[in-house]
Amino acid sequence: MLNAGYKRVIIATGDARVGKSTCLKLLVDLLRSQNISSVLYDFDKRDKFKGYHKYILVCDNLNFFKGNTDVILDDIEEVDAAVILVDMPGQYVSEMLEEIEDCYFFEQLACRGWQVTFLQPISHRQDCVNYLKQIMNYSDNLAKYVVVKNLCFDKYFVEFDKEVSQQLYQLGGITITLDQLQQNVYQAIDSLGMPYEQACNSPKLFLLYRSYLYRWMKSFNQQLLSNNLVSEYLGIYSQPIIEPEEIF
Amino acid sequence: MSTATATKPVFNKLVGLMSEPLPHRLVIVTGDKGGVGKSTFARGILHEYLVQNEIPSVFEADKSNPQVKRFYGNSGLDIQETDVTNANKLDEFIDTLAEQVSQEGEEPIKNGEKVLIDLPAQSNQFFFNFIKEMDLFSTLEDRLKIRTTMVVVFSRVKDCVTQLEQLYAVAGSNVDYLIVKNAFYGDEADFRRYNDSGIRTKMFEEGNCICEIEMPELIEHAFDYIDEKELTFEEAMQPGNKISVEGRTKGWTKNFKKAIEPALPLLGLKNA
Repeated sequence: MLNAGYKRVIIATGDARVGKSTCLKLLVDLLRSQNISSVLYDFDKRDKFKGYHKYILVCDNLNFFKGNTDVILDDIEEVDAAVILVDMPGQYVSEMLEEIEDCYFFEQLACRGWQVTFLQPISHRQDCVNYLKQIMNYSDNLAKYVVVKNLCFDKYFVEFDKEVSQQLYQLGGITITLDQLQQNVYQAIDSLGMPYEQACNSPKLFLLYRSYLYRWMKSFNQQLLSNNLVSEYLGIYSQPIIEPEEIF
Repeated sequence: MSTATATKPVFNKLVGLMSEPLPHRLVIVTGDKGGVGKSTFARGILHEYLVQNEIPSVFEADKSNPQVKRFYGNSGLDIQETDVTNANKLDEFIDTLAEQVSQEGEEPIKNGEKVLIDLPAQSNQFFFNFIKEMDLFSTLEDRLKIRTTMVVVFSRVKDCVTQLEQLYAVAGSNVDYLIVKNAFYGDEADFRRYNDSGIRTKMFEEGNCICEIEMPELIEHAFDYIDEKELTFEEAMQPGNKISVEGRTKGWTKNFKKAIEPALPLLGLKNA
Protein backbone atom coordinates (compact mmCIF):
# COMPACT_ATOMS: atom_id res chain seq x y z
CA MET A 1 0.00 0.00 0.00
CA LEU A 2 1.17 3.45 -0.76
CA ASN A 3 0.35 5.25 2.44
CA ALA A 4 1.70 8.47 1.09
CA GLY A 5 -0.98 8.66 -1.55
CA TYR A 6 -3.95 8.55 0.76
CA LYS A 7 -6.39 11.34 1.16
CA ARG A 8 -7.33 11.91 4.77
CA VAL A 9 -10.41 11.36 6.86
CA ILE A 10 -9.48 13.00 10.13
CA ILE A 11 -11.58 11.83 13.03
CA ALA A 12 -11.36 13.84 16.23
CA THR A 13 -11.97 11.47 19.10
CA GLY A 14 -11.51 11.22 22.81
CA ASP A 15 -12.98 12.25 26.09
CA ALA A 16 -15.56 14.99 26.29
CA ARG A 17 -14.23 18.54 26.60
CA VAL A 18 -10.59 17.86 25.91
CA GLY A 19 -10.38 20.06 22.85
CA LYS A 20 -11.58 18.00 19.89
CA SER A 21 -13.50 20.83 18.28
CA THR A 22 -10.78 23.32 19.11
CA CYS A 23 -8.16 21.24 17.32
CA LEU A 24 -10.44 20.78 14.35
CA LYS A 25 -11.11 24.52 14.15
CA LEU A 26 -7.40 25.24 14.20
CA LEU A 27 -6.93 22.68 11.49
CA VAL A 28 -9.69 24.16 9.35
CA ASP A 29 -8.01 27.54 9.53
CA LEU A 30 -4.67 26.09 8.63
CA LEU A 31 -5.99 24.00 5.75
CA ARG A 32 -7.78 27.05 4.44
CA SER A 33 -4.60 29.10 4.58
CA GLN A 34 -2.94 26.42 2.48
CA ASN A 35 -5.78 26.40 -0.04
CA ILE A 36 -6.75 22.86 0.82
CA SER A 37 -10.43 22.14 0.56
CA SER A 38 -12.12 20.29 3.38
CA VAL A 39 -15.56 19.26 4.54
CA LEU A 40 -16.71 18.66 8.08
CA TYR A 41 -19.09 16.05 9.42
CA ASP A 42 -20.26 17.11 12.82
CA PHE A 43 -21.66 14.35 15.01
CA ASP A 44 -21.31 16.42 18.13
CA LYS A 45 -24.51 18.24 18.67
CA ARG A 46 -23.25 21.40 20.30
CA ASP A 47 -22.91 23.55 17.23
CA LYS A 48 -19.30 24.32 17.96
CA PHE A 49 -18.55 25.27 14.40
CA LYS A 50 -20.97 28.13 14.16
CA GLY A 51 -18.48 30.61 12.81
CA TYR A 52 -16.99 28.17 10.35
CA HIS A 53 -19.98 27.59 8.14
CA LYS A 54 -18.81 30.23 5.70
CA TYR A 55 -15.35 28.67 5.51
CA ILE A 56 -16.17 25.07 5.11
CA LEU A 57 -19.04 22.82 4.13
CA VAL A 58 -20.42 21.54 7.40
CA CYS A 59 -22.64 18.52 7.41
CA ASP A 60 -24.42 18.48 10.74
CA ASN A 61 -27.73 17.20 12.04
CA LEU A 62 -26.13 13.83 11.94
CA ASN A 63 -26.99 11.24 14.49
CA PHE A 64 -24.09 9.02 15.25
CA PHE A 65 -26.31 6.36 16.76
CA LYS A 66 -28.50 5.99 13.73
CA GLY A 67 -25.90 4.75 11.34
CA ASN A 68 -25.37 8.20 9.87
CA THR A 69 -21.69 7.45 9.53
CA ASP A 70 -22.82 5.81 6.31
CA VAL A 71 -23.27 9.30 4.91
CA ILE A 72 -19.51 9.72 4.86
CA LEU A 73 -19.05 6.54 2.85
CA ASP A 74 -21.85 7.29 0.44
CA ASP A 75 -20.51 10.78 -0.20
CA ILE A 76 -16.94 9.72 -0.63
CA GLU A 77 -16.88 9.34 -4.38
CA GLU A 78 -18.53 12.67 -4.98
CA VAL A 79 -16.93 14.69 -2.25
CA ASP A 80 -15.03 17.63 -3.64
CA ALA A 81 -12.41 17.97 -0.94
CA ALA A 82 -8.96 16.75 -0.16
CA VAL A 83 -9.64 16.36 3.54
CA ILE A 84 -12.67 15.13 5.43
CA LEU A 85 -12.95 16.20 9.06
CA VAL A 86 -15.16 14.34 11.49
CA ASP A 87 -16.07 15.57 14.94
CA MET A 88 -17.18 12.66 17.07
CA PRO A 89 -19.23 12.95 20.21
CA GLY A 90 -17.00 12.53 23.25
CA GLN A 91 -16.62 9.28 25.11
CA TYR A 92 -18.47 6.89 22.84
CA VAL A 93 -15.32 5.14 21.75
CA SER A 94 -16.60 1.57 21.85
CA GLU A 95 -19.65 2.56 19.89
CA MET A 96 -17.56 4.36 17.32
CA LEU A 97 -15.30 1.35 16.83
CA GLU A 98 -18.33 -0.86 16.50
CA GLU A 99 -19.64 1.39 13.75
CA ILE A 100 -16.27 1.32 12.04
CA GLU A 101 -16.30 -2.45 12.18
CA ASP A 102 -19.90 -2.81 11.06
CA CYS A 103 -19.55 -0.69 7.95
CA TYR A 104 -16.07 -1.92 7.02
CA PHE A 105 -15.03 1.70 7.20
CA PHE A 106 -11.25 1.35 6.82
CA GLU A 107 -11.44 -1.11 3.95
CA GLN A 108 -14.15 0.77 2.10
CA LEU A 109 -12.11 3.95 2.38
CA ALA A 110 -8.80 2.34 1.52
CA CYS A 111 -9.96 0.95 -1.79
CA ARG A 112 -11.02 4.46 -2.74
CA GLY A 113 -7.77 6.08 -1.75
CA TRP A 114 -8.65 7.39 1.70
CA GLN A 115 -7.23 6.63 5.10
CA VAL A 116 -8.28 7.58 8.61
CA THR A 117 -6.19 9.68 10.96
CA PHE A 118 -7.35 9.79 14.55
CA LEU A 119 -6.75 13.20 15.99
CA GLN A 120 -6.97 12.81 19.72
CA PRO A 121 -6.46 15.60 22.20
CA ILE A 122 -5.75 14.32 25.69
CA SER A 123 -5.95 15.72 29.18
CA HIS A 124 -4.15 14.29 32.20
CA ARG A 125 -7.09 11.96 32.86
CA GLN A 126 -6.76 8.21 32.74
CA ASP A 127 -9.85 7.96 30.53
CA CYS A 128 -7.97 9.61 27.70
CA VAL A 129 -5.29 6.98 27.87
CA ASN A 130 -7.86 4.21 27.93
CA TYR A 131 -9.67 5.57 24.91
CA LEU A 132 -6.49 5.88 22.95
CA LYS A 133 -5.50 2.35 23.84
CA GLN A 134 -8.84 1.04 22.74
CA ILE A 135 -8.63 2.84 19.42
CA MET A 136 -5.09 1.71 18.72
CA ASN A 137 -5.79 -1.88 19.72
CA TYR A 138 -8.61 -2.00 17.26
CA SER A 139 -7.31 0.08 14.39
CA ASP A 140 -3.67 -0.91 14.64
CA ASN A 141 -1.84 0.06 11.48
CA LEU A 142 -5.00 0.63 9.46
CA ALA A 143 -5.06 4.23 10.65
CA LYS A 144 -2.69 7.02 11.62
CA TYR A 145 -2.60 8.76 14.96
CA VAL A 146 -1.91 12.28 16.08
CA VAL A 147 -2.16 12.82 19.82
CA VAL A 148 -2.46 16.37 21.05
CA LYS A 149 -1.29 16.97 24.57
CA ASN A 150 -3.56 19.74 25.68
CA LEU A 151 -1.40 21.86 27.95
CA CYS A 152 -4.40 23.67 29.28
CA PHE A 153 -4.90 20.65 31.57
CA ASP A 154 -1.39 19.85 32.64
CA LYS A 155 2.24 20.03 31.65
CA TYR A 156 2.91 16.39 32.34
CA PHE A 157 1.13 13.43 30.91
CA VAL A 158 2.59 10.69 33.03
CA GLU A 159 -0.02 8.02 32.38
CA PHE A 160 0.16 8.60 28.67
CA ASP A 161 3.94 8.44 28.59
CA LYS A 162 3.99 5.32 30.68
CA GLU A 163 1.15 3.35 29.19
CA VAL A 164 0.60 4.14 25.55
CA SER A 165 3.35 6.28 24.11
CA GLN A 166 5.40 3.27 23.07
CA GLN A 167 2.53 1.63 21.23
CA LEU A 168 1.72 4.96 19.61
CA TYR A 169 5.24 5.42 18.28
CA GLN A 170 5.40 1.84 17.08
CA LEU A 171 2.35 2.54 14.95
CA GLY A 172 4.00 5.61 13.52
CA GLY A 173 1.87 7.91 15.64
CA ILE A 174 2.94 11.36 16.67
CA THR A 175 2.40 13.68 19.62
CA ILE A 176 2.06 17.41 19.37
CA THR A 177 1.02 19.96 21.94
CA LEU A 178 -1.69 22.54 22.20
CA ASP A 179 -0.58 25.51 24.26
CA GLN A 180 -2.60 26.84 27.08
CA LEU A 181 -4.69 29.84 26.25
CA GLN A 182 -5.92 31.74 29.27
CA GLN A 183 -9.46 30.77 30.11
CA ASN A 184 -10.87 34.28 29.84
CA VAL A 185 -9.18 34.81 26.49
CA TYR A 186 -10.51 31.53 25.18
CA GLN A 187 -14.02 32.46 26.32
CA ALA A 188 -13.84 35.89 24.77
CA ILE A 189 -12.83 34.39 21.44
CA ASP A 190 -15.42 31.67 21.68
CA SER A 191 -18.21 34.12 22.38
CA LEU A 192 -17.44 35.97 19.15
CA GLY A 193 -18.55 32.88 17.26
CA MET A 194 -16.09 33.52 14.47
CA PRO A 195 -13.20 31.50 13.07
CA TYR A 196 -9.94 31.89 14.95
CA GLU A 197 -8.22 33.28 11.92
CA GLN A 198 -10.83 35.98 11.64
CA ALA A 199 -10.89 36.68 15.39
CA CYS A 200 -7.18 37.23 15.16
CA ASN A 201 -7.80 40.27 13.01
CA SER A 202 -11.05 41.41 14.48
CA PRO A 203 -11.27 44.74 16.28
CA LYS A 204 -13.99 43.16 18.41
CA LEU A 205 -11.25 41.42 20.35
CA PHE A 206 -8.80 43.23 22.63
CA LEU A 207 -5.49 43.75 20.96
CA LEU A 208 -3.73 41.91 23.74
CA TYR A 209 -6.07 38.96 23.39
CA ARG A 210 -5.49 38.98 19.68
CA SER A 211 -1.79 38.69 20.20
CA TYR A 212 -2.30 35.77 22.62
CA LEU A 213 -4.52 34.10 20.06
CA TYR A 214 -2.03 34.72 17.30
CA ARG A 215 0.82 33.14 19.23
CA TRP A 216 -1.34 30.24 20.33
CA MET A 217 -2.32 29.47 16.74
CA LYS A 218 1.18 29.95 15.47
CA SER A 219 2.63 27.51 17.94
CA PHE A 220 0.10 24.87 16.90
CA ASN A 221 0.46 25.51 13.19
CA GLN A 222 4.21 25.42 13.25
CA GLN A 223 4.22 21.93 14.66
CA LEU A 224 1.95 20.83 11.87
CA LEU A 225 3.87 22.53 9.10
CA SER A 226 7.36 21.71 10.23
CA ASN A 227 6.93 17.97 10.50
CA ASN A 228 6.30 16.12 7.25
CA LEU A 229 4.68 13.19 8.94
CA VAL A 230 2.20 15.29 10.91
CA SER A 231 1.35 17.32 7.89
CA GLU A 232 0.82 14.16 5.89
CA TYR A 233 -1.40 12.65 8.59
CA LEU A 234 -3.46 15.81 8.78
CA GLY A 235 -3.87 16.26 5.08
CA ILE A 236 -1.80 19.42 4.86
CA TYR A 237 0.80 17.93 2.68
CA SER A 238 0.24 14.90 0.59
CA GLN A 239 2.43 13.29 -1.94
CA PRO A 240 0.86 13.09 -5.35
CA ILE A 241 -1.51 10.19 -5.63
CA ILE A 242 -0.11 7.51 -7.83
CA GLU A 243 -2.84 6.16 -10.04
CA PRO A 244 -3.02 2.36 -10.14
CA GLU A 245 -2.17 2.31 -13.87
CA GLU A 246 1.13 3.94 -13.19
CA ILE A 247 2.18 1.31 -10.72
CA PHE A 248 1.88 -1.61 -13.05
CA MET B 1 -10.68 -10.11 17.78
CA SER B 2 -11.80 -6.59 18.45
CA THR B 3 -12.74 -4.81 21.58
CA ALA B 4 -15.63 -3.35 19.70
CA THR B 5 -17.51 -6.57 19.14
CA ALA B 6 -16.59 -8.29 22.35
CA THR B 7 -19.00 -6.28 24.43
CA LYS B 8 -22.22 -8.20 23.86
CA PRO B 9 -22.96 -11.11 26.15
CA VAL B 10 -23.60 -14.21 24.10
CA PHE B 11 -23.78 -17.69 25.42
CA ASN B 12 -23.42 -19.51 22.17
CA LYS B 13 -22.23 -22.92 23.00
CA LEU B 14 -23.11 -26.16 21.37
CA VAL B 15 -24.20 -28.81 23.82
CA GLY B 16 -25.05 -32.44 23.42
CA LEU B 17 -23.93 -33.11 19.86
CA MET B 18 -23.69 -36.81 19.25
CA SER B 19 -20.22 -38.12 18.80
CA GLU B 20 -20.75 -39.68 15.39
CA PRO B 21 -22.89 -37.40 13.31
CA LEU B 22 -24.82 -38.74 10.37
CA PRO B 23 -23.47 -37.97 6.92
CA HIS B 24 -26.30 -35.72 5.75
CA ARG B 25 -27.98 -32.66 7.17
CA LEU B 26 -31.43 -31.28 6.66
CA VAL B 27 -31.72 -27.72 7.91
CA ILE B 28 -35.26 -26.50 8.42
CA VAL B 29 -35.59 -22.81 9.11
CA THR B 30 -38.72 -21.95 11.04
CA GLY B 31 -40.13 -19.09 13.03
CA ASP B 32 -43.86 -19.02 13.23
CA LYS B 33 -44.24 -15.30 13.04
CA GLY B 34 -43.62 -13.49 9.80
CA GLY B 35 -40.83 -10.93 9.95
CA VAL B 36 -38.72 -12.49 12.68
CA GLY B 37 -35.73 -12.79 10.38
CA LYS B 38 -36.28 -16.29 9.09
CA SER B 39 -35.50 -15.45 5.53
CA THR B 40 -32.53 -13.31 6.54
CA PHE B 41 -31.07 -16.21 8.44
CA ALA B 42 -31.76 -18.63 5.59
CA ARG B 43 -30.06 -16.25 3.16
CA GLY B 44 -27.15 -15.79 5.54
CA ILE B 45 -26.65 -19.52 5.74
CA LEU B 46 -26.94 -19.85 1.97
CA HIS B 47 -24.31 -17.20 1.58
CA GLU B 48 -22.00 -19.07 3.91
CA TYR B 49 -22.60 -22.36 2.10
CA LEU B 50 -21.75 -20.74 -1.21
CA VAL B 51 -18.65 -19.04 0.19
CA GLN B 52 -17.43 -22.40 1.41
CA ASN B 53 -18.38 -23.98 -1.88
CA GLU B 54 -20.72 -26.38 -0.15
CA ILE B 55 -23.63 -26.29 -2.53
CA PRO B 56 -26.83 -27.22 -0.74
CA SER B 57 -30.14 -28.39 -2.14
CA VAL B 58 -32.63 -25.67 -1.46
CA PHE B 59 -36.35 -26.06 -1.07
CA GLU B 60 -38.65 -23.10 -1.03
CA ALA B 61 -41.76 -23.92 0.95
CA ASP B 62 -43.09 -20.41 1.18
CA LYS B 63 -45.38 -19.93 -1.78
CA SER B 64 -46.94 -16.67 -0.73
CA ASN B 65 -43.67 -15.04 0.21
CA PRO B 66 -40.86 -16.97 -1.48
CA GLN B 67 -38.00 -15.01 0.01
CA VAL B 68 -35.17 -17.40 -0.64
CA LYS B 69 -36.21 -17.83 -4.23
CA ARG B 70 -36.63 -14.11 -4.66
CA PHE B 71 -33.06 -13.40 -3.59
CA TYR B 72 -31.24 -16.51 -4.70
CA GLY B 73 -33.36 -17.44 -7.73
CA ASN B 74 -30.74 -16.14 -10.14
CA SER B 75 -27.67 -17.16 -8.23
CA GLY B 76 -27.24 -20.44 -10.08
CA LEU B 77 -28.63 -22.46 -7.22
CA ASP B 78 -31.29 -24.97 -8.03
CA ILE B 79 -34.22 -23.99 -5.85
CA GLN B 80 -37.04 -26.50 -5.80
CA GLU B 81 -40.50 -25.74 -4.60
CA THR B 82 -42.48 -27.69 -2.12
CA ASP B 83 -45.53 -27.13 -0.02
CA VAL B 84 -45.58 -28.08 3.62
CA THR B 85 -49.32 -27.65 3.86
CA ASN B 86 -49.95 -30.33 1.29
CA ALA B 87 -49.35 -33.93 2.31
CA ASN B 88 -48.75 -35.09 -1.25
CA LYS B 89 -46.14 -32.42 -1.84
CA LEU B 90 -44.46 -33.27 1.40
CA ASP B 91 -44.26 -36.92 0.41
CA GLU B 92 -42.71 -35.80 -2.86
CA PHE B 93 -40.23 -33.75 -0.92
CA ILE B 94 -39.19 -36.80 1.11
CA ASP B 95 -38.82 -38.84 -2.06
CA THR B 96 -36.65 -36.15 -3.58
CA LEU B 97 -34.51 -36.18 -0.47
CA ALA B 98 -34.19 -39.95 -0.78
CA GLU B 99 -32.99 -39.62 -4.35
CA GLN B 100 -30.56 -36.95 -3.38
CA VAL B 101 -28.74 -38.97 -0.76
CA SER B 102 -29.18 -42.52 -1.98
CA GLN B 103 -26.72 -44.72 -3.74
CA GLU B 104 -27.23 -44.81 -7.47
CA GLY B 105 -25.79 -47.72 -9.39
CA GLU B 106 -22.08 -48.07 -8.92
CA GLU B 107 -21.56 -44.57 -7.62
CA PRO B 108 -20.30 -44.29 -4.08
CA ILE B 109 -22.69 -43.04 -1.46
CA LYS B 110 -22.80 -39.32 -1.49
CA ASN B 111 -21.46 -37.73 1.60
CA GLY B 112 -22.26 -34.53 3.35
CA GLU B 113 -25.39 -33.67 1.43
CA LYS B 114 -26.97 -30.51 2.75
CA VAL B 115 -30.58 -29.58 2.34
CA LEU B 116 -32.02 -26.25 3.32
CA ILE B 117 -35.71 -25.59 3.58
CA ASP B 118 -37.33 -22.32 4.47
CA LEU B 119 -40.76 -22.80 6.03
CA PRO B 120 -43.46 -20.21 5.58
CA ALA B 121 -44.83 -18.37 8.57
CA GLN B 122 -47.91 -19.87 10.15
CA SER B 123 -47.37 -23.27 8.58
CA ASN B 124 -46.26 -25.03 11.70
CA GLN B 125 -49.47 -26.69 12.71
CA PHE B 126 -49.73 -28.67 9.52
CA PHE B 127 -46.06 -29.45 9.41
CA PHE B 128 -46.02 -30.59 13.02
CA ASN B 129 -48.88 -33.00 12.33
CA PHE B 130 -47.00 -34.35 9.38
CA ILE B 131 -43.93 -34.92 11.53
CA LYS B 132 -46.02 -36.83 14.03
CA GLU B 133 -47.87 -38.93 11.48
CA MET B 134 -44.80 -39.94 9.57
CA ASP B 135 -42.44 -40.02 12.47
CA LEU B 136 -40.54 -37.94 9.96
CA PHE B 137 -37.22 -37.43 11.67
CA SER B 138 -36.65 -41.03 12.70
CA THR B 139 -37.49 -42.08 9.18
CA LEU B 140 -35.04 -39.63 7.73
CA GLU B 141 -32.40 -40.73 10.16
CA ASP B 142 -32.83 -44.49 9.90
CA ARG B 143 -33.49 -44.76 6.21
CA LEU B 144 -31.65 -41.86 4.68
CA LYS B 145 -28.98 -41.09 7.24
CA ILE B 146 -30.12 -37.52 7.38
CA ARG B 147 -29.95 -35.71 10.69
CA THR B 148 -32.22 -32.70 10.97
CA THR B 149 -31.52 -29.32 12.48
CA MET B 150 -34.52 -27.22 13.38
CA VAL B 151 -33.55 -23.58 13.23
CA VAL B 152 -35.89 -21.46 15.28
CA VAL B 153 -35.55 -17.75 14.67
CA PHE B 154 -36.75 -15.66 17.57
CA SER B 155 -38.03 -12.21 18.06
CA ARG B 156 -38.96 -11.21 21.55
CA VAL B 157 -42.63 -12.07 21.53
CA LYS B 158 -44.14 -14.79 23.65
CA ASP B 159 -45.42 -16.72 20.62
CA CYS B 160 -41.89 -17.73 19.84
CA VAL B 161 -41.61 -19.60 23.10
CA THR B 162 -45.00 -21.22 22.58
CA GLN B 163 -43.91 -22.31 19.16
CA LEU B 164 -40.78 -23.89 20.53
CA GLU B 165 -42.83 -25.81 23.06
CA GLN B 166 -44.99 -27.21 20.27
CA LEU B 167 -42.01 -28.07 18.16
CA TYR B 168 -40.26 -29.82 21.00
CA ALA B 169 -43.41 -31.79 21.75
CA VAL B 170 -43.36 -33.36 18.28
CA ALA B 171 -39.67 -33.43 17.45
CA GLY B 172 -38.15 -34.10 20.86
CA SER B 173 -34.66 -35.44 20.74
CA ASN B 174 -35.01 -36.57 17.12
CA VAL B 175 -33.60 -33.29 15.89
CA ASP B 176 -30.90 -30.83 16.83
CA TYR B 177 -31.94 -27.32 17.75
CA LEU B 178 -30.46 -24.07 16.67
CA ILE B 179 -32.00 -21.13 18.48
CA VAL B 180 -31.35 -17.85 16.72
CA LYS B 181 -31.96 -14.63 18.58
CA ASN B 182 -32.32 -11.84 16.13
CA ALA B 183 -30.30 -8.90 17.44
CA PHE B 184 -32.52 -6.58 15.43
CA TYR B 185 -35.08 -7.12 18.18
CA GLY B 186 -32.69 -6.29 20.97
CA ASP B 187 -29.73 -7.43 22.93
CA GLU B 188 -29.27 -10.81 24.46
CA ALA B 189 -30.85 -9.64 27.72
CA ASP B 190 -34.00 -8.63 25.88
CA PHE B 191 -34.82 -12.23 25.11
CA ARG B 192 -35.87 -12.66 28.70
CA ARG B 193 -39.05 -14.54 27.84
CA TYR B 194 -37.09 -17.28 26.19
CA ASN B 195 -34.09 -17.15 28.49
CA ASP B 196 -36.28 -17.66 31.53
CA SER B 197 -38.66 -20.10 29.92
CA GLY B 198 -39.40 -23.55 31.24
CA ILE B 199 -39.01 -25.06 27.79
CA ARG B 200 -35.44 -23.85 27.55
CA THR B 201 -34.54 -25.38 30.90
CA LYS B 202 -36.29 -28.57 29.92
CA MET B 203 -34.54 -28.89 26.58
CA PHE B 204 -31.18 -28.43 28.23
CA GLU B 205 -31.94 -30.78 31.10
CA GLU B 206 -33.12 -33.53 28.82
CA GLY B 207 -29.75 -33.54 27.12
CA ASN B 208 -30.70 -32.43 23.65
CA CYS B 209 -28.32 -31.11 21.12
CA ILE B 210 -28.95 -27.41 21.27
CA CYS B 211 -27.12 -24.30 20.25
CA GLU B 212 -28.08 -20.72 20.86
CA ILE B 213 -26.66 -17.93 18.79
CA GLU B 214 -27.33 -14.29 18.17
CA MET B 215 -27.87 -13.18 14.62
CA PRO B 216 -26.15 -9.83 14.06
CA GLU B 217 -28.16 -6.82 13.12
CA LEU B 218 -28.01 -5.41 9.65
CA ILE B 219 -28.65 -1.69 9.63
CA GLU B 220 -32.12 -0.92 8.35
CA HIS B 221 -31.28 1.17 5.31
CA ALA B 222 -28.90 -1.48 4.01
CA PHE B 223 -31.46 -4.18 4.64
CA ASP B 224 -34.08 -2.22 2.72
CA TYR B 225 -31.70 -1.54 -0.16
CA ILE B 226 -30.85 -5.21 -0.53
CA ASP B 227 -34.48 -6.11 -0.22
CA GLU B 228 -35.61 -3.67 -2.85
CA LYS B 229 -33.00 -4.77 -5.35
CA GLU B 230 -33.38 -8.43 -4.42
CA LEU B 231 -29.65 -8.92 -4.10
CA THR B 232 -27.80 -11.88 -2.72
CA PHE B 233 -25.37 -10.84 -0.02
CA GLU B 234 -22.54 -11.58 -2.43
CA GLU B 235 -24.03 -9.17 -4.95
CA ALA B 236 -24.57 -6.52 -2.29
CA MET B 237 -20.85 -6.61 -1.50
CA GLN B 238 -19.83 -5.78 -5.05
CA PRO B 239 -18.88 -2.29 -6.17
CA GLY B 240 -21.67 -0.48 -7.92
CA ASN B 241 -24.00 -0.52 -4.95
CA LYS B 242 -24.17 2.20 -2.36
CA ILE B 243 -20.79 2.24 -0.70
CA SER B 244 -22.31 2.10 2.75
CA VAL B 245 -24.42 -0.91 1.77
CA GLU B 246 -21.36 -2.61 0.37
CA GLY B 247 -19.52 -1.98 3.64
CA ARG B 248 -22.41 -2.87 5.90
CA THR B 249 -22.95 -6.14 4.06
CA LYS B 250 -19.28 -7.02 4.36
CA GLY B 251 -19.46 -6.21 8.05
CA TRP B 252 -22.67 -8.16 8.52
CA THR B 253 -21.58 -11.32 6.73
CA LYS B 254 -18.37 -11.28 8.73
CA ASN B 255 -20.32 -10.99 11.97
CA PHE B 256 -22.76 -13.61 10.78
CA LYS B 257 -19.98 -16.03 10.02
CA LYS B 258 -18.63 -15.49 13.51
CA ALA B 259 -22.06 -15.88 15.06
CA ILE B 260 -22.75 -19.27 13.47
CA GLU B 261 -19.32 -20.65 14.31
CA PRO B 262 -20.46 -22.73 17.28
CA ALA B 263 -23.36 -24.06 15.20
CA LEU B 264 -21.34 -25.25 12.21
CA PRO B 265 -21.81 -28.98 12.94
CA LEU B 266 -25.55 -28.39 13.01
CA LEU B 267 -25.37 -26.84 9.56
CA GLY B 268 -23.29 -29.61 8.07
CA LEU B 269 -20.23 -27.39 7.91
CA LYS B 270 -16.83 -27.96 9.31
CA ASN B 271 -14.75 -25.61 11.35
CA ALA B 272 -12.25 -23.84 9.17
